[in-house]
Amino acid sequence: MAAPESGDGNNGAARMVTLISSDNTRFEVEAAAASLSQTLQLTILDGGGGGGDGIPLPNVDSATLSKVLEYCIKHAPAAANGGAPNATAVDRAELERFDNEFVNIDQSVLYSLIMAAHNLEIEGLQSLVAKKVADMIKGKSPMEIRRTLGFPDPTPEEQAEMNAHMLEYGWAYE
Amino acid sequence: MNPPVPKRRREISPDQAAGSVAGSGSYISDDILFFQILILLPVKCLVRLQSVCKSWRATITSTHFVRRHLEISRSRSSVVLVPRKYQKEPAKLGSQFVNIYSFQPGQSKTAKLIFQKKFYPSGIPMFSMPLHCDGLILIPCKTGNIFLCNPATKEFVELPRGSRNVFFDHSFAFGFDTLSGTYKVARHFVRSYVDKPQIDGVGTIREYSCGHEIMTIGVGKDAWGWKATMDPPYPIKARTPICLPGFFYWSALHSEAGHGHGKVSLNVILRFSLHSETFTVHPNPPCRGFLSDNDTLSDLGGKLCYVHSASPWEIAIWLAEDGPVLDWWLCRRVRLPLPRFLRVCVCASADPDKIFLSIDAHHLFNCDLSDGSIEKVVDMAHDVLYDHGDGIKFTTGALPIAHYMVPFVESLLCIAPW
Repeated sequence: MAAPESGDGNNGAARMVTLISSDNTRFEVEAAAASLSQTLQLTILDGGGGGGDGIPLPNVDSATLSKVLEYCIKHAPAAANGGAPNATAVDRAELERFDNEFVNIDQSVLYSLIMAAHNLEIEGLQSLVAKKVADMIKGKSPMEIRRTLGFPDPTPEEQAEMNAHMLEYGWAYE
Repeated sequence: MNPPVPKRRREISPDQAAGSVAGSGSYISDDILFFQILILLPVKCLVRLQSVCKSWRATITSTHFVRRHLEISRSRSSVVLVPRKYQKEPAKLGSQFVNIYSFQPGQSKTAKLIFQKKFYPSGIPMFSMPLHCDGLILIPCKTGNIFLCNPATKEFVELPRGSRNVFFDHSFAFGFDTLSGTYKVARHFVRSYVDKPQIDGVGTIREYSCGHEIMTIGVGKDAWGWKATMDPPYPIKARTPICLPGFFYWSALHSEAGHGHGKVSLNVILRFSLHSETFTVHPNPPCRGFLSDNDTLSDLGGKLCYVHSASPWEIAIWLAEDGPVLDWWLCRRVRLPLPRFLRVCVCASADPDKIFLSIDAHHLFNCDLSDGSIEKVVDMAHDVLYDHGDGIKFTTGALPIAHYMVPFVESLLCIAPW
């Protein structure tokens, strides 16, 4: 039942798995990092993804997947400790610095990332990106949000409704 | 090749984002957009976003979204201050405002105005301790007028008057019915009373006919009114009740004996179940057979609590384990750092070992329940700076004002959805 060649990473080299993006790029990554994804974890525990097989991810393109894996590799050691007491303040500060920089990217990449994190069930990445996008939305007016999200211009009727709302709830626009 | 398939109706493409066209295939499903991203935003922002389009408005105001938002909001729970002027004759209208201030006890001495309701030209009658549940604040006036307010959405509604109370003093209960998922207000009233001669022929004993009614909040307009429940088994005292999920706890008069200074009253606690709409009768804690003017019933972190003050310098905090019967146990005796005049109220803090003590709604202290030690937080009359954000800043000083401190979470809950 156990994958004999992997040796479960008990000694020597860590077990590696291969992930294949929607555009057929192959990524080789430590099983521990890929296991941050709840979805992949099950497959990997079953011995999948090793050898030449690889796990196909038809919903994630290579640009997004490489970004997702960057996150997983950085967070894998802390996740392996289960946030254990030996995680020092320095380690935590370093992860925080990484996270802040990590989400400092183009909106469209953020959107792809949150969808991928959702499909792969990577909780930490989901909430990190959600928080970033929420912060970006926070200060925006309804009109700016429509533009950002690519909605068509409001019809005269919609525009009238928006104006009426702004009159009634002026305090929310201050 | 295969961009993620949006789960629901609208695909949101950021391709037209100003100056950052990323090419193909970036979508966020509605589910993720609303329930992972927008759910994190404060109420003020979500009120504004309701005008983005019709479907946003429908989702943001939906029960499901409002409840999920509330769950997240609970992790940011705080307190508000609701100051109230004292009036010698409570029937007279007094203060021309209800002001609600956000406050971070222990972190800042500034209380920022988050909501103001003007009562021009006449004023609002004197109110007693406001009650809070899930972002809604109930303001109970001694005259029986009653207001419900969501300071975050600025909704402020006067509830209809209930049945006639032959006595002046009113009190109300307000809480969440876990089974029906609705918010309910309850009130008690006295229909009539007669004074009957006592058996020994000396003095009289008063017999009451009492009623109790409830009102459901946030449902249709046709349900907007009071509905009688069974009568309480004993006359309810006009003291602020305690409202825990599913239950209201009232103090009631079980019996009286003797007369003049020798008069002895026995109180009980009536537990009203919002689900079955029936009362059960429970004893006062063993420390005192009646809820004296110096004692308070309280809610301490979701537990029924009785603050017994035998003398101006001390309190004893009793807690009740919930169950078919209330099982009272003495949690902690505390020596007060200054004498209370009337009452001490308790309130949970973010630290489970520490609670707030509000002495006469005037002096705020922190009390460590593990050892009973006390730390001053603030003298609300002299040190709290009430800030209206428009240049108006003041402390109340020696004015006769009760500084009611009420727990609070921000929520999108709607009081009168029509």
